[in-house]
Amino acid sequence: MTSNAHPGSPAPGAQHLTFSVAGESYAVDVLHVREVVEVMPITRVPSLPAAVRGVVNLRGAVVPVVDLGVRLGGAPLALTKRSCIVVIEVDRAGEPMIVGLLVDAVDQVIELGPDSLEPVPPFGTRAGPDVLDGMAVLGGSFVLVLDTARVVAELLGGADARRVHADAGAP
Amino acid sequence: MIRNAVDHALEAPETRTAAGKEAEGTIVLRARHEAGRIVVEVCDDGAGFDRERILARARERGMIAEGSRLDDDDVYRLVLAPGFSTASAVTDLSGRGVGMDVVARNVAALKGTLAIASRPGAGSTMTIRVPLTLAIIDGFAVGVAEETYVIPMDAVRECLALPRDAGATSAAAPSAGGGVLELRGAPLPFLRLRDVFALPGAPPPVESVVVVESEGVRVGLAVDALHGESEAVVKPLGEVLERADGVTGSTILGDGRVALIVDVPTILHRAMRRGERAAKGERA
Repeated sequence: MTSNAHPGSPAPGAQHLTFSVAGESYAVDVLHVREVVEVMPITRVPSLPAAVRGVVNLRGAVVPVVDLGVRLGGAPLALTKRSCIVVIEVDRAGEPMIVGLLVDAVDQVIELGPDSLEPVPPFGTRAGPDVLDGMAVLGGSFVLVLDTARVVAELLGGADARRVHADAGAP
Repeated sequence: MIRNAVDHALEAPETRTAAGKEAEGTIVLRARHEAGRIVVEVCDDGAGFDRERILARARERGMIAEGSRLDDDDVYRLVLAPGFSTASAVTDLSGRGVGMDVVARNVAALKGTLAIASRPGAGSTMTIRVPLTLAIIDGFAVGVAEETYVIPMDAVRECLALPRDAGATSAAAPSAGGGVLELRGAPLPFLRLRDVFALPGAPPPVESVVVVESEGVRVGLAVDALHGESEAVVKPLGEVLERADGVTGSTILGDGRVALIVDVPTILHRAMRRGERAAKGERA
């Protein structure tokens, strides 16, 4: 992201959806979010990475669901009343792909301008700088902005992971 | 492929008569359903693959090292390389080197497999297997743990209750997660689908067995519950899920849940391989 905002005038912010996973607050650009749905029965799929919780029926489409708790909390999330699936669209090797992210709870939509984003320190966050675009302070605590394409590429694996990054990095 | 068979595989009438075959060559094109896959076979009664000629051509093109030993399967795979042709002359029909590689690529794009079988002098068979993508199959739904799986009906032979004492024999092969049960006086090996798919929980006191058959191998699959026969609209698994082992696709059940379709041939293959390895280990 480039910082081209004039001093004094509020920077044009991008809307981000915030949600919590394993006690921490994360955000994704709303432009990548297709919808947020309640947790529905998830069908387990054998022999996939642990982070792939299974597949769900999203109005007739079979969509994989990734458990963010495995990557960001060290353990699969326990389902509660507030658990949600954030359905996102990521660019995977040039093709759009619909993926559900299982999160503990969805919080709010906030505006995050380039000015409010801080670079991610090389260590200290559970997610690590690889899958984060930046972090912001919100009401005294941190919100970590996820790079959805990177997270999905990392969790789902595959030879095209690098290309996803290249695509995601393009303006 | 048929064009290839006509031009490459079938010999000239004189050669055929000399070899004691009918002057007229036969090419058979077969298509069928097989446990969740579409199988297309092109079968000819021509000369078969000429191992030496393929090897010579491959050496000429520098595809294989001098003196390397290849089994028949590897040799046949060579003809799938782009631009590979052993035809001495370009004819109207083929020989431009645009042939098997295109077939192989298209099959691979459909996530299918291409198998070549050949007997010198007696002909060759090319078998294409592609997964069903959007099709309706007759399926047999079974329940294991909280999941429902659909077994393609054409692989199902019969269903029975798992005898209570059948589990005891599994102590002899604890790693296999199954055992042997008696079916009308003959032994029938069985696997627990719960173990095949690494599902949590213990099997219920009463289990059922679905007897499935693929490529002549008959195996029982122990499940928690039999839900019965239904038509299933097959949905492709998509890029991520097609890496999953032992499933060929998914379908949406009446209650809106997703059920996976069991890839019977793969599961049986894997079990057989494991059995063979275990047998070897015991002998060693």
